[in-house]
Amino acid sequence: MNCERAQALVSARMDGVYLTASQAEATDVHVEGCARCRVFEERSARVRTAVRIRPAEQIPDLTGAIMDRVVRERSLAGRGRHAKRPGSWVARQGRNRGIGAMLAAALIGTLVGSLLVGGPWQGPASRPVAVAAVARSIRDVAPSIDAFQATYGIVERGLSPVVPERHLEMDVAFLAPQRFRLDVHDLTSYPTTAWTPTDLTYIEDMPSTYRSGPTGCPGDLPPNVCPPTRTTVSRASDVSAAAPLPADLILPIATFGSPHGVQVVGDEELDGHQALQVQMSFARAAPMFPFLRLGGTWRPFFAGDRVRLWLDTTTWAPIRYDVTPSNDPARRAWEMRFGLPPEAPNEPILEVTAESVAATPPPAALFEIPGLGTPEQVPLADAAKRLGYVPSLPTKPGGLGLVAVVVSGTSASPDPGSIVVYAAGLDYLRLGEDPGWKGPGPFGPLDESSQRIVLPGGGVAFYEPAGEGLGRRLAIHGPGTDLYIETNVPLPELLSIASSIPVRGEDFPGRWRLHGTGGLTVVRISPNDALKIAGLSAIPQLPAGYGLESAERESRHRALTGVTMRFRERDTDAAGPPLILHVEPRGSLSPPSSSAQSRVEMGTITGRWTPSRSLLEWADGGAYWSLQGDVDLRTLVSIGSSIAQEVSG
Amino acid sequence: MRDLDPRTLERARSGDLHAFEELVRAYQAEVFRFAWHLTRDWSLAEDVTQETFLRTFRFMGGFRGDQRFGSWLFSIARNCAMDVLRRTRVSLPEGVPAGTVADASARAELNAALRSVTAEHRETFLLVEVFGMSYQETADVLGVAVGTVKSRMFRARQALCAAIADEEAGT
Repeated sequence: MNCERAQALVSARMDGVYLTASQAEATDVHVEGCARCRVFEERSARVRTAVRIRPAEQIPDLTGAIMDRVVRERSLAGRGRHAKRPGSWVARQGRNRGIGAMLAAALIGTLVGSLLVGGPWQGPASRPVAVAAVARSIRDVAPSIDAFQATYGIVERGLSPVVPERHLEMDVAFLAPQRFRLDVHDLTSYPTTAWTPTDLTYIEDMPSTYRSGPTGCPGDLPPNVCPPTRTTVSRASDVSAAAPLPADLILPIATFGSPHGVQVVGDEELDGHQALQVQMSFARAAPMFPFLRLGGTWRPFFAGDRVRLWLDTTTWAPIRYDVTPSNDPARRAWEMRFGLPPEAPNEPILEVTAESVAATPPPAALFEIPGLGTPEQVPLADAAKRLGYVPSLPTKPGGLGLVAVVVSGTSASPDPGSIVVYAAGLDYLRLGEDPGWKGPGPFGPLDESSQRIVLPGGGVAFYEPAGEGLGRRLAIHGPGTDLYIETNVPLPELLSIASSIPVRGEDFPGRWRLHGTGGLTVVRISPNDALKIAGLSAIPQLPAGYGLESAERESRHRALTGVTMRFRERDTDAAGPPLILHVEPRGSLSPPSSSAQSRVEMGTITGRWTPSRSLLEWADGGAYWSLQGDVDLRTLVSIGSSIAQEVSG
Repeated sequence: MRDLDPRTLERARSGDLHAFEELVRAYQAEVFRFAWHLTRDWSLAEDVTQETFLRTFRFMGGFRGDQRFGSWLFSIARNCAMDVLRRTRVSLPEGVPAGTVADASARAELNAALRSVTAEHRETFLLVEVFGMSYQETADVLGVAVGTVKSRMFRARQALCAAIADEEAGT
């Protein structure tokens, strides 16, 4: 990339033009290493500040004068012209379907199956309620739901200046064991045919999934910005490891996987029902928005936007939830990046409301996947003969029942040789196995930096919390076989089930833990060793629920060049990306790489903050430190200050 | 620039004077500021603002909604300003009017820089930077392609940065 191209992209990005990840990275790399382009970026930002920060101006009120002229014009022109109805450029039909009445009828005995819940919420309103207790109640209900069918209304605001508001309808269905369906019907009248309605279908008939929907692209973007909009039909593998997408719309199991980050606002009556209002960040509530991940075109949401969720206190089903913009000052820069106008914190930008819930179970035919033969399921007794090995199964699968044993396709397939599915209501556990796994990393969808756990019955396993569309995961590397488990049951239950599998987990082979390229070697080390290298006596002061997940030591030609520690919310289904602490044995920061960087006071030292990368850096005690993570600056500064205090003390 | 409630816009389009008055109150400050930037004359800016809303009232029925209402309104304001400037035989003035930037030295620096930018680049720059319009909206106002707005903004910034460098070197 040359300077001309880099500056053109810097200019476009300043004005909110979306750059692809590769464009953005190439631009950043060029600008970081090019003084001329850094000056261009810095001066352009200075001009923007000079132009936009201005005192209030005295603007004359011309309303009276204008309206006088308009009225005169109208009386001269006669009445005929104004009788003409304008064209229907925004034919938004308000959908007033008597939601209150429908809910009242629907949510009394609506969830099919037994949904009897004990607890303090049956009593009068305004009683303080602990989030942990709500989470426990939701967990108690999960195994007992056998069927569900409901319709929701979705209102989305701010997608585009020409489509300021959209109305969609969503049907959700569930039938045990592990069959889900979600359909989104776009009811919006678009201004032109360039827009493709967001009509989506998702079907899961464990373990197969089916998706149908258009690729996303707003119709008011020029045609060269997005790929051609088309409807795509894709079919996941027979052994998909993805968590059932719509489960939290029926019962927010993953959302309440942990009480961290959830605040109870209070009880209130909503459409004749006792409801509990809770709130959390958009990132925290990700499982409540499965439809955003299915395709089509949706407006962007800021990770810190506020989600308010109303749960029926009898069934714990979500009856309404909405998203309102965060008042975090960082949101303004984010809005500019997406070309959004400033959005008021009290105006919902997305509303989802349960409109009706069926009183009968959905038909099984609703979950048939178009064009897909039934995945081959074999009786457990025949599995060993078909597979050439005896699948390792838990002797104590908790309250879960065996649903299916699936044998995957060819030996060349990257999928596991077998997958065994257990379920009870909305709870599920999938166990994949491959005796031929050679690495060089853990088997199954786990990261190499996942957390090492010693199982209650002995042996080790590697754990990763739920996230990015996957449930809680555990990898076990045993003698002669490799296993992975993916589930939505709580961590202690998962560990208990894993302990009853007759495979004693071992540490990953040494070669899996070591990576090298160009003289640089990265090796996984124990958290204690990492703390020792960094000169810390204990884990830094972290937000509640965070723990040290893994650590790596980096060296070049055997000389230490750095140590990296990852901290993560351990038991949260909706855990975000980890906090990453990195230390290098050099006593200064690298030169500034962006005009958006700013100085931050951290007690006795001064750090540098790069908002675009959520990166806090400082030099202290002869070392370079950086802390990166998807949390607010105040939290990063608090952690950084506690580290600096220990280093200096 | 904020959007008007679509229902108010719809009522204004069907000839409801109360709704049109609401529309005037919602947009007159932005239209006046834009007119002021283009004319740098208080009295001319008032004329342009009144004329803009009168034309808007006349042509409301022709607004098809394939662009943002604010962009459509600004394109009318721009035409009105050009007509007024033609009538008074004044060319598009240079620089940023007093009162639009916080401090005098920054304004002087910016004015000096803006003198080095061509009229069409300056106009694009004002719509994007001062009025916070998107490239699409700016393209709608100016009647050019989005790509043209993008390249004009880039060229305007290059010229401004070069001018600021000259200023700094001279001081």
